[in-house]
Amino acid sequence: MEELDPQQQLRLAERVYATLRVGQDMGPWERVLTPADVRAYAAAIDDENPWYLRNSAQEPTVCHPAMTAPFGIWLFQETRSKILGDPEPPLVGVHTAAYHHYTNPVPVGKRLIVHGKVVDKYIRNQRYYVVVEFWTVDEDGRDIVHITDTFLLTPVRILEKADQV
Amino acid sequence: MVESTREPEVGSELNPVTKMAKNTARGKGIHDDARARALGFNRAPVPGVTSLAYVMEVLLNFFGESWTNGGNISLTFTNPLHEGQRVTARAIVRDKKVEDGGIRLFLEVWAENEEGTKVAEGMASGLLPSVDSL
Repeated sequence: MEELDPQQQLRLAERVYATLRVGQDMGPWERVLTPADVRAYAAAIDDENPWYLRNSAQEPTVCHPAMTAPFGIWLFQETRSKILGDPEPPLVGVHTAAYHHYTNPVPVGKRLIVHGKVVDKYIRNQRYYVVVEFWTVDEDGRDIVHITDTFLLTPVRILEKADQV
Repeated sequence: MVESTREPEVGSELNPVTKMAKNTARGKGIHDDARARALGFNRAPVPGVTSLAYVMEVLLNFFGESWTNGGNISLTFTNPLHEGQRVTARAIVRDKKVEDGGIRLFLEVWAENEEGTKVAEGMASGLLPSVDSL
């Protein structure tokens, strides 16, 4: 990934902020979580609960619900990449808040389909924020989780640019 | 601390979870030390979703797998958490209400570093199934 200075970061953030509109749809984006994914995730977060390690017909693998947390981030990054015309844009954002509401356990081995919609965008403390709602259903159409994420498009403040002009 | 086999009182704390924070997205985006420093951070922050997972572990340990049937959590990532810092996820019961199928607990939740600074904070809820519905 090409590295950019803060002012270049800010210019990319401005483009994304200006292009995204409230009500804009994102996705769909799909992913299948395997027992191996679940084990790897449990190891990454040091969660030794045996739910994540078992894998039999009698005791199927249980998926940690937080494994759905990055789905929206990845879908948002994909949307951002399309706006900037770069598969790996050097824009560096920060995830600042998350709301998750689960309606069913996250299934292992089934297709998970994620849709998103921009629900708000605003400038606070000279920084650009975007709020996106994501909802995930499985391949049978079963509702799994609704997530609302708030993204800071760049930690660089708009004022810093004005100061340099 | 409260065991999951009994209904907790308002004000009681669920069993906390303590970890050594891991940067689960090392090298990506803001989670890279050099990139984070260039943008005003002291070093790369651990992803917020990792703090979220630590707090969820407290809830899952108490409510069990059923937490994913109607459980919710809202967290704001208030301060950076860094790899290698000791982080403790906590939950305190703030209210409870009877609803179909059981009692819903409303909890204040957060994750704090070893200095006691909150790195993530918010609210969560989960349903304790009634004995009849088990």
